[in-house]
Amino acid sequence: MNSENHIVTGIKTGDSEILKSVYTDYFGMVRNLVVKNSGSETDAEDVFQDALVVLFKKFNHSEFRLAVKFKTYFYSVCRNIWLTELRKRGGRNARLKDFEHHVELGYEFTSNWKETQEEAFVKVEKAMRYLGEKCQEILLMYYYQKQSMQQIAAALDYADADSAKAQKYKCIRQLKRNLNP
Amino acid sequence: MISEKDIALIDAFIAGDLIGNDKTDFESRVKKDLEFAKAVRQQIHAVEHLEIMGAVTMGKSLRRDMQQWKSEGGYQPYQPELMGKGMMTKVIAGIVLLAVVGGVIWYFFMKEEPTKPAPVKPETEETVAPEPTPTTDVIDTITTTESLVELKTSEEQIADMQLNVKDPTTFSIHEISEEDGIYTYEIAYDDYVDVFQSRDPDIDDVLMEMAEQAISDNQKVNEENKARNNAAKQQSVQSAPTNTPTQKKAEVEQKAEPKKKTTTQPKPRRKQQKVDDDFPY
Repeated sequence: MNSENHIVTGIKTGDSEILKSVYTDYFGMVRNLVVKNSGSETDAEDVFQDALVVLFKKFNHSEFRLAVKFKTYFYSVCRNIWLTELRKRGGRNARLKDFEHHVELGYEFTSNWKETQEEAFVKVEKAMRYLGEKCQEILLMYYYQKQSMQQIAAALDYADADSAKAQKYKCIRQLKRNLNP
Repeated sequence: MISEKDIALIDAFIAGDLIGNDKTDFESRVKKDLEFAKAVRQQIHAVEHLEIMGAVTMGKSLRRDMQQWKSEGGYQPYQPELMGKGMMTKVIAGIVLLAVVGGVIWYFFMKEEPTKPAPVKPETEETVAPEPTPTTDVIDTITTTESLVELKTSEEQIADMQLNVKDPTTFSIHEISEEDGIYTYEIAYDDYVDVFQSRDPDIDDVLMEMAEQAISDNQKVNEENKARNNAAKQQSVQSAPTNTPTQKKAEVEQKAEPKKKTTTQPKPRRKQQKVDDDFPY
């Protein structure tokens, strides 16, 4: 379970080495699932990418605990994403041919967030354009990647955490104005 | 005016870090302070948008990384933990096919068993001919070691006929068909009609010759009997009063003798190769 926690922590923090090892170990499994269920190589890449994004968000939730093997959990997330996609493509009663054990997951483990919130994404992307590059980085690092002010200060060359905090205050105020003119 | 401290407080609320009195105080302030409530709504809205932005940005970054990882060596070959239904079907079909093939092999192997060479009985051994039964057994007259058992069957068949043909003049045989070297014959004698099979294409000729020979032998015997009877009659006319009981008995035996010769008593069985030498009717 130690290595399993290691993977969870790596995904949580966006550790590129861990993400690479997840790709090396599990992309074949995802590809097999998608290709053997009416998908293409590109579909498999989309599913793998979306699954990691979903896991990133889930693992950063304070109440999350991994109760099954990572492989099973990851397969289940990919399965949900691909089944949702197949049903969206017209197969309302689409069923999957399974190759691994899986657990039942909720709607939140689909890639639907991408489309249901597409409008929101267009809006925030437009609002972010008016912020400086450093503002975009500091906001995403704090609110999305859940990094501490010390980490952000170190990564973005601020003198200390307070300086980074003051900068973040200015950035979020500006973003709120841009989103709600 | 929303201060930096208020922004930090709202962040803590959104992250779920406010507990106890801090949380209660925050909620009551939202109810009382409209400007603060508006700031909270706007910040929640901004954070939700940032999370969407972050997910999309992360996705794009991952896609770039995936292309690089692919070019650096790709991913490990995949071994499924579960068998797909298609695979299961193939496995079951394979087992069924193996069972069928095994069954066919077993069937033919077991069928071949009885054709293995059987112990050969000495030629001098007398065998009791079985009751004549309508049969389609193969009568094999080929005198090879492998076919000795079938050869015996052929002899028995001939012995049956020897024992049961009362009137050789009623004897007839003709070939009905031939398939894969096996000839089917219809045979008739007295009131009996039967069908039998043989690998010998000439067995009908052999049996017909035997029948003709038997007819010829019977005619000779009848003629001899007639001649003896006539001689006996002449003798009895000449010495009728002086006949002793012993002579009478000899006469009776002489009269009875021709009858014995015309019965259907079979002669001793012969080898198949000499079957046409003497037909015992």
